[in-house]
Parts: sequence; structure tokens; C-alpha cells
Amino acid sequence: MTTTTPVHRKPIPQVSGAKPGDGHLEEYQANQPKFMMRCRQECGDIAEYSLMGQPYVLMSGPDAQEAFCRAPDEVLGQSAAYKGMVPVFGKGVLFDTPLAVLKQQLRIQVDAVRYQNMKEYAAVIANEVRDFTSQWGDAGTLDMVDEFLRLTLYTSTSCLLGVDFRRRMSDEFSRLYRDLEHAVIAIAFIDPYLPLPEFAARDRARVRLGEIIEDIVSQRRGSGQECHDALNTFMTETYDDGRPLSPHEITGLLIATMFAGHHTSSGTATWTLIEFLRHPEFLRVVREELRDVFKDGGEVSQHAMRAMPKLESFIREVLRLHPPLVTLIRVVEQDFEYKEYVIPQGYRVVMSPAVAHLIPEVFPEPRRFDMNRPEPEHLFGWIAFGGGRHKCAGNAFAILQLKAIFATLLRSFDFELVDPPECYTEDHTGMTVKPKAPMQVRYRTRRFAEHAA
Amino acid sequence: MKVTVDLDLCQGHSVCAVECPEVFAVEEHAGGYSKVKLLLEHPPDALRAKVQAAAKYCPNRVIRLEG
Repeated sequence: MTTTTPVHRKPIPQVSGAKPGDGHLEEYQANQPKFMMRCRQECGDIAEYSLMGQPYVLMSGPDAQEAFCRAPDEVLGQSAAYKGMVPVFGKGVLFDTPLAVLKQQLRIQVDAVRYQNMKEYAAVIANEVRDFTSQWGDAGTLDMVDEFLRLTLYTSTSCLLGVDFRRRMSDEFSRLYRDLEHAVIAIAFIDPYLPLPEFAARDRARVRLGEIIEDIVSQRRGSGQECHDALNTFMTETYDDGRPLSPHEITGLLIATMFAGHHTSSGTATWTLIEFLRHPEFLRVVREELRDVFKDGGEVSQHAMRAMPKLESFIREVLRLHPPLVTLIRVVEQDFEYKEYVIPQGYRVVMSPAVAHLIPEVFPEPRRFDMNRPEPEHLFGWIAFGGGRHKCAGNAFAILQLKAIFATLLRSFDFELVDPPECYTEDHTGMTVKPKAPMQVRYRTRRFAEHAA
Repeated sequence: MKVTVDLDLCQGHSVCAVECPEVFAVEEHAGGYSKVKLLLEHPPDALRAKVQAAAKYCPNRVIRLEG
């Protein structure tokens, strides 16, 4: 880093309204996306705010977003921002490891959702959807928030731990997973080891999940059966020096993968259905595409899925307006230069899909839902999965899963909203943004004649 | 036709190597994600459709085509 400050350096614009001590905490907690938007509107691409004495800089606009995404780990680190997850994933897993180990574990995690595994996943997901909806009967009303949370827990368990495990999956497994989820609260990111009942339940659940998964691992090793799921990848891949993952690390990576994909996918599935019902003209176009793709009674395969540009554009527009994560956070490990600014070591920098996707210069009339929007020219304009080095490794899996779910659902059922369209809103009160439950939807089986129509 | 890849963005998803194995391979990289390896920088025109498919279906938009 330079020791003299060049004259062209500019001070970082400050967001107004900071209170002594807490800074912008109150406004931030009240409505995170709204606060983030105000930061950009007031200050532009670079905006400094503070939460309880910690300075943060929001980087927004495609160029600033690209700089955030491309910065090396040595400059913008992830680990310190995720310390609340350490007891959930386990000691020595992902963000609790030195950078060199973290990178290798992330490589193994990506390999679980590589093309080769995905071939199996499309059919597995479609089967889960059929099993799940077979319990719905011909017609009824459901809270889709809850339905999609359960469905995506089943699909991710099938893809991660295998169809055999999923079939035998007990209530205990769901309960343990829930205990882990309930410990991901704001205070965990300040001190995840406080003597709180949520944290005690989390630690018990993590131990028990470890036992369950270690059992599956030793059964598999004993039987020599070949499986095409994430667990198989975690059992067979090695660190650069040839060492395999320990059972504890395997469990940790499985939990991390499940956490990364579960609420994000279920929330997006819920919004996809709601937006279809708000925009029947687009639903019609997507149904036509489905009819063409499956006209010969084809299977819901990876190959069929990849060629569904209309459904994909629709899902990408859903992700634009309902990005599952409001902010992505990095810790500045070395002074970080961007254009004429220097963001000092110790700061945190933030990228916000919720802000990025409502920039009118990138997305004209940003609040209008339009599946025919052209992709922004700038690669870092649309950042629902982040981007660059740490882009969500499950991005292709997520899209495949959503396509497989809707290719199956829309061919089997008709849906309609129970409440007026504007009543379906986001819930910003938790750690992540979610569809506000309940979201009631009526469904009925499509009769055979309607399949053709 | 000239092909370039942006290795900053590559996480080794391997879609390209399935769509067009003549031009793309994915190799392990010490200390991080597996990455695409470009086998032919100037592939013959006969491969254009396959290279285009690789670029189009790459989940991270790593591949660029010129000419």
C-alpha cells in the first residue's frame, strides 16, 4: 500500500442520520433493502454507514459491484463475516479454516453440483415433486411458503444425501436441521457461543447430525455402492495433498450446502408461483414452451431443462425483483482501492442485489416485472447469485431445480391466488428476506384435455 | 473465431467440457476451484455451434467468442 495519499483521492461519502453509538442500526433493522436504497440514492456508488461502531461501505452500480466480486480473498475476506455459522457447520469447516484450506473445501463443494452430478438431479427433483404433490389431491388451498420449504428440504436431501437416505428420512433429521436453523440469529454473528438455549440446541443437533451422517458414510463405504449425489463427491474427493475429508468435514460441508440452498430456493419457488399468477400473460408463454419441450412425453431431464429459455428468463426476473439475499458482506483485510476511493482495512464492504436490481440505468422501470427484459450488458448488473470468485456455486443447480419444479407443477396443476395480488409481500424482519407467510394459493389438477391446450 | 476465458469467474462447473470437449477441458488447480483449460484458441468453424452452446450454458459466463 502507498504511504502518501495522492491528491486525487476522495473522501468516502457518508450516509446521513447516524446516531451516536448505534449508527444506522435502527433504520437498517426496520427495513434493510429500503435503507440500502437510501444509501445509494444519497451517496451514489460508494456509501459509508455504520452499525454499532463498525463502518460499512455499500458498493453499488455495475462497476463497483464488479470490483467487489473480483477482489482477491487476501483483500476482501469472507470468513470474519460468517463467524455465526461456524458452530453450525462445525469447527474446521469452511469459514473456520485458513484461506488455503477454505479454497480447497469450496472446490470440493462446487464439484458436488458439477454437470456430471446434475444429470442425476433433474430426474430426482421431478420425482420428488410428483411424490409431494400426489398428497395434495385434486383441489384445495395451501400456504405455498410452507409447502415449498418442505418440498425443497426433500429435494435437497435427495440430491445431497441420496434417494435412499431421503426415503428413510426421519422426523428426527428435519427436527435437527430446524434446530440448526433456529440458531442463525443476529446475535450469533456477534458471539455464537453465548449461553442461549438456541445455541445449546444447535450444538446438540450438530453432534447428532454428525452421528447420522457418519453412519451413512460407513454404510456406503462398506457396501461399495455407487451413488451420484453430493455425499459421494464429498466422500471421494481429496485435498490437494491427497487427504480425504474427515467425517466431521463431510457433515459440515453437507450442512453448509443445505443451508446455502434451502431457504433461497424455497423462497424463489414461492415467488415464482406468485409472479406467474400475477402475470397470466407470461404464464401462458411459459406453458407454451413447456408444451413444446414435452410434446413427445419427454422426461424432465437435464438436457430438456437447459433448453427452456422462457422459463429461465421468467425465473431470472423473479430473482431480480426478489433476490433471496439483501446483502453480501466482506471484511477489508488490506486497504481496498476503488477508482478514487480507498476503503481502509477493518471496514466491511457490502454488495446488495436488492439495490443493484433496482438501478434504473441498468433496468429501466426497475419495479416492473417483465420476463422479456434483455439481460444487462454489464455482466455484474444482475447479481442474484453474487458474482466472480465467490459466486454462489449452486447457481446452476438452483436454476435447474426451479425449472424441474415448475416444469412438473405447471403441467399437473392450475393455480390461482386466494388474496389480492398486492397482499403477497416480503418479510424483512429476519436475517434473510423471505416471502411473508402465509401465501395462500388455490390449486386443482389439470384435466387431460387441458394438457393439450 | 477466437475464444477467450475469464479465469477469475470460473468455478469448474464443466458445462463447457460436456458441450464442446474439442475446445474445453476442466482441470484441477492447486489451491482452489478447478478451472477451464482452453484446448483450441482458434477452433475451426465446424465447431461454432458447439462453442456457442458452451458459452451460452456456462453458468458463470466465463467464455467469450470473437469473430
